Amino acid sequence: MLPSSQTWARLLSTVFPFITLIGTIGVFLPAFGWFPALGFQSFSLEPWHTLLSTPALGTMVAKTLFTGIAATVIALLLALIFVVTCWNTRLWKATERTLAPLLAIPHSALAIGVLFLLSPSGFVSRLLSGPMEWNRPPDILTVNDPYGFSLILTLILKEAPYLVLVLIAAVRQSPVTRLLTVGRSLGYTPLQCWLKLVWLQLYPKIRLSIFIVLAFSLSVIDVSLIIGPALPPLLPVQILQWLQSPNIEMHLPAAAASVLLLGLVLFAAVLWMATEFVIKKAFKSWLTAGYRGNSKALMVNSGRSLWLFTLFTAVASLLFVVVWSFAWRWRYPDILPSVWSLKVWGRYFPRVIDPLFTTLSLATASTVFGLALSIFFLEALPQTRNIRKNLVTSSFYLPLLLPQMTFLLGIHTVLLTLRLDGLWITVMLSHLLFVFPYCYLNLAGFWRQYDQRYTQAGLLLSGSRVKTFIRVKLPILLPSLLTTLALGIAVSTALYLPTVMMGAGRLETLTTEAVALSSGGNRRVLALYAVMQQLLPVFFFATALLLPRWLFRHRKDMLR
Amino acid sequence: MSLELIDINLSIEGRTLLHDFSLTVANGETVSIMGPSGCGKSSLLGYLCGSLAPGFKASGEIYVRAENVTHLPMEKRHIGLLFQDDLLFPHMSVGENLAFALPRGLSRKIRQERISQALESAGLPDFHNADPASLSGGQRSRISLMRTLLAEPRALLLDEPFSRLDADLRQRFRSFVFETIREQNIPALLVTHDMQDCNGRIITLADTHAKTGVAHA
Repeated sequence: MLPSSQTWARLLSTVFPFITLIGTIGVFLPAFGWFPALGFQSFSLEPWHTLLSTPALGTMVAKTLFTGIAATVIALLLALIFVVTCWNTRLWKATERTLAPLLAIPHSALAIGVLFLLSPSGFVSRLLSGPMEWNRPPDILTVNDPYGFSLILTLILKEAPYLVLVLIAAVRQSPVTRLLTVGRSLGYTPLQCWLKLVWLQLYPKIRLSIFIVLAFSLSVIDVSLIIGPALPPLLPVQILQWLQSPNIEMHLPAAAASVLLLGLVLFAAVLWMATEFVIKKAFKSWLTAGYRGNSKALMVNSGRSLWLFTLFTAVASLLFVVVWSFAWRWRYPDILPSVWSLKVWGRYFPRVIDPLFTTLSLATASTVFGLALSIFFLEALPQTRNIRKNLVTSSFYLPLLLPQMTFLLGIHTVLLTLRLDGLWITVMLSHLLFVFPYCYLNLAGFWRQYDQRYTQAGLLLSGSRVKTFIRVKLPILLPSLLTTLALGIAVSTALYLPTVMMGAGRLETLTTEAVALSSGGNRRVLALYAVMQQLLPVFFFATALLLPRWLFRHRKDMLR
Repeated sequence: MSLELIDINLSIEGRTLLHDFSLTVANGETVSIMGPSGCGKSSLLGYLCGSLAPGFKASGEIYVRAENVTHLPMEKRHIGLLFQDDLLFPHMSVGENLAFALPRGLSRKIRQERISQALESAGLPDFHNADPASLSGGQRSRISLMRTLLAEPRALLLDEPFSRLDADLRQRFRSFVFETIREQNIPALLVTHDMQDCNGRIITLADTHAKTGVAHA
């Protein structure tokens, strides 16, 4: 690399965190009444008065906090139960295989699955209709319930597997077997060893991911639109509705509300840390009090069953979506469709083509950019482990740790002033904001594992840095590049708010359309969109897995 | 009569490592088991403490203080382990590492006393709140032994506990270990490949790759 590339990398690496911060700070301007592009040119507290006089604001805030925190806590508990009870079992291996495809599928597609599973005419209700003697769907709010239980469930089904994935990676780096041997030789049951020895060492390694889950669960919009409370909705959804209202004055209270949302996320994070502190204090004596525990097979088995049930529910709800897309006639109490058909696909597929192409173009463009930038940073940023480097890499997490609504609204304010909203390129760049950190973080791991001696050997043989990079390093890392590409595509495909907000409603993707259709009546069309949402990332992940196998079919060491 | 092994057979993939191996270790005695790597000495310890890796076939009875522990889970055998690595828990202080091993139900005062005694014996009286990471190799090994003993094991297994220490430390830690075992009056089985580590009776296991793996005491 040229000597100046390091400077460039340093400069460029600050762009995304900078934009995120600008957005976060920028939202304070309209929140206090200043939005020249819409004709508001004086600071005032008026937006806050409007916000605070909103009926049911307190309920919205309370429910937003409740659903977000409850989903995070339960997802974490499930992940804990998984590692503690499933280690060294077949279920652990089965989970490892199921996680990647499950996580690649957009949140909204899973939410649609849960909707089909739990709604009054959904699968669970059909199963119960026999014993309960229901001839019609019962009149119960099983989805979009006012307390957000169905939303919490959906978030858990998606976030618990995510935390488990992070935990599995942390377990691989920990001397679990030896910790268990030492603990057990001191008389502790395996369960107690897990809690007191292993878990306490794993937790710090997954802490950042927990905060990502917390911020996401508190500020999620698409899932909340599909399956969350409706009247009143949760705060993030209310903000979006204000932004989309024809009355442009509502932009200002929306901005104030997104500052409030930022406050909620920060509050929840502080609350979480305080709880960590209290638990640590309270359990300090418990840790060394000498309680050895009794091995209760019942507890271990119920833990395993609970995790199996979670995985099964997630997979089943995704499969229901597929079933619905082939169901031509499916009357209420029937468990399965009475008439299966390809008619749904034949009749409605043409409608999907345009959103599909928009999704693909946004996803591929943002991912290719994200990959290229990541590779550039990994190559050009100095590979030292100093505080400055850590600061740079941690700042890449910012868009994942702050509520999307807050900083996107700030950025949107700027873009609106410059009349840059509603363009494909704007939406693509907004996707890049989220795709890039995932690409970078994923690639960084592979880059660290790469054996530098290959590059040294290549340099000695070819005498060219560029040639060595292109002919040696990239091909060796190709499988990792392909999975990262698939990950980027999956992230972009799932994005809802950036597309809706930056696209000014002019760009339709599979996800925005699926969310829009979810409140309508036509389940078959909705199923079709949701199936496409599932297929796209799964297709790319399958390609990323199979292509290297074929390319390197005569290179055994590449397939390990 | 405190640690008794009766007719232990150990094999992996059809290769016999031990055949009808019997041994009695008296209280306060340390018996050393020597032999080349792969002869089955570490696997024997694995079988005794209940952590034998899958793939091994093993039989034979193990008695600790006349109690048959052969089919008990590891945590119920009351057999203490000391490894090559000290394996102090990095998330606890030195004192907490020791407290972790103490039996349940002791009063706060007695717990404190036991820990202080253990720190004293290890020659580290003021290290209660120290971070294990700040200790030297020799200090860590001594704390590790103390931790193992605070759990009041009825027998002790030592898996090359000196091999990571340098020569000078090694000599001192060795005497420390043997003295402590005598003081505590428990039976100990030591596995090593270094003659100098041994103290008292020595059992040499044959190289089992020669297909006739028979132990001779």
